[in-house]
Amino acid sequence: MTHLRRRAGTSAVLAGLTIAAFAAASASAATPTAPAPAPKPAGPTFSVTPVGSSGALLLHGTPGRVLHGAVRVHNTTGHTITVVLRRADVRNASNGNADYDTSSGSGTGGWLRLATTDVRLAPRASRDVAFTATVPTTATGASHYAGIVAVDAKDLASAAGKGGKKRSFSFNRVTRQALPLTIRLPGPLTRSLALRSAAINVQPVGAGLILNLLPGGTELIQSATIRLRVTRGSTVVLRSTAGLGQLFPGEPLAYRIPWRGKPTKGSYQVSGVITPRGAAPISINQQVTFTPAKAAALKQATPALPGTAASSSMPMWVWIALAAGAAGLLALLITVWKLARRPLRPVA
Amino acid sequence: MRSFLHPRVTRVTAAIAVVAAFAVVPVAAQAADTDATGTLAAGALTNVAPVITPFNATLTGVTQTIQTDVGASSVTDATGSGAGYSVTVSATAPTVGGVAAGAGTGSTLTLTPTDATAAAGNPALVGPDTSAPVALGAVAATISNAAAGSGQGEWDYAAGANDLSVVIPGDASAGAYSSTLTFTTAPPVA
Repeated sequence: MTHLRRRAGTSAVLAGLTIAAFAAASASAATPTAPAPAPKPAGPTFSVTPVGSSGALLLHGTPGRVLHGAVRVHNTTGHTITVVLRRADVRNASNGNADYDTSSGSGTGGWLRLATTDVRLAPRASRDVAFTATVPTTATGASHYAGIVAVDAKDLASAAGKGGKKRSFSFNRVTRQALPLTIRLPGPLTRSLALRSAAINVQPVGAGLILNLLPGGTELIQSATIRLRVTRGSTVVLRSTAGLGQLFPGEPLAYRIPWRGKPTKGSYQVSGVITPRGAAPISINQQVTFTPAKAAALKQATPALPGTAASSSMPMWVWIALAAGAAGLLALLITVWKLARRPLRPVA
Repeated sequence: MRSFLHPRVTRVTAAIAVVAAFAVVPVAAQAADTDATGTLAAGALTNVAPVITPFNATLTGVTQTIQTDVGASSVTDATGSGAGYSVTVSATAPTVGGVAAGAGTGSTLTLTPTDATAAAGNPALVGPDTSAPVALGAVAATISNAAAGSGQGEWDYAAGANDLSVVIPGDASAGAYSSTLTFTTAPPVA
């Protein structure tokens, strides 16, 4: 009899462990996993500074002239590196400040010629790289903006690796240093900002109010503030106060204000004011419509369930499986404990 | 003896004091004219971009949002100019093996920047501002901005758990995706 009880207890424990193991296995199989924690990044490998000035570059000229300047590239590491220099056009980042675009060179960046683009540097070494800016004879307007962008060649090579044998959703990172260049030509300096349109737009991340802005004039706007509210009838559905960085003339900007929750079909009233520094403010008082087509697109595009954290969260059914396994294990352990505590009867 | 020495000692002491005064005056004058000279050369504006944790997920047939961790980063303004700076981020559309997938996940990355804190040894009080969560795409977005007179020295951005959201469309193609995030630091345009 004692032997039988022991066997029953052992079987119960094994069954409990099996249930727990299945629950744990299913949990680990379903969880979005983070392959490895992010290591601490190393320090900067290089720096780039203007020669003969600090901060931004500023050149004065006239149409048809060739202007000269130089930048200094410095290796901050104890090993040899190659720094890649690129000329860049300046456009507006989505919330203001310069976005350095090295892809085309169709803007003012195309006026630049660098003496060299690949700068190989010995440990702790520096090198000056000259550049020219050829102002077209047809150039008009008092200010033209471009930039010189520096990148560690190793970063570019890593980003161009196309994933290799990676099996996860991975991210490359490129660290760039940019030096802005202003080319000032004769002419009056003026600033202006226009709101071309406002609309509700749908993206996979949700709905948003888009303000299509166009800075004008001949000089950048240092900053701007936006204060607006969106109403339907007497109900305020969205209120926003935001700041924009530097805004460059002639470059459009689509500023997006995330919508809290989901808009519903129909019209909304947008009212408020945009105040650019050094330019006339803009009053906003217009209607935007959330069409049935956009409502359908929003339903299709956005997740029905709240977000899943790759590093820690698990689907609800996994939690239920784990809870069931734990409950089963607990019940079996209690059974074993009770069996063990029962007094032994002599065998007849 | 006492009466003889007393005036003499007094006179000698007075003479020594006068001579000493003449000796001290030029020394003091010399001390006032001796400046500690030296030049503090301008350093550079640099940044260290964060490492972003890769993840694995299973397609479910409906659009889902995956969140992943963003590592620590920093920006250092050693220019001594106090001109300020900005940090912008752009992202390429996720691709599989360098090729845009049929059903990609473009414009679906959202980054939540963490606040900047002065690094140990940086006494500056006013740091750069950080932006609200920004959608990442080909056009860069500003995630941190130091106005003129702020943000000098080294500033650290703490690692943020789940600070990058990736929306995976329900009809996305299976594969090993990768996206390149470019972090650019620049002084303000003159």
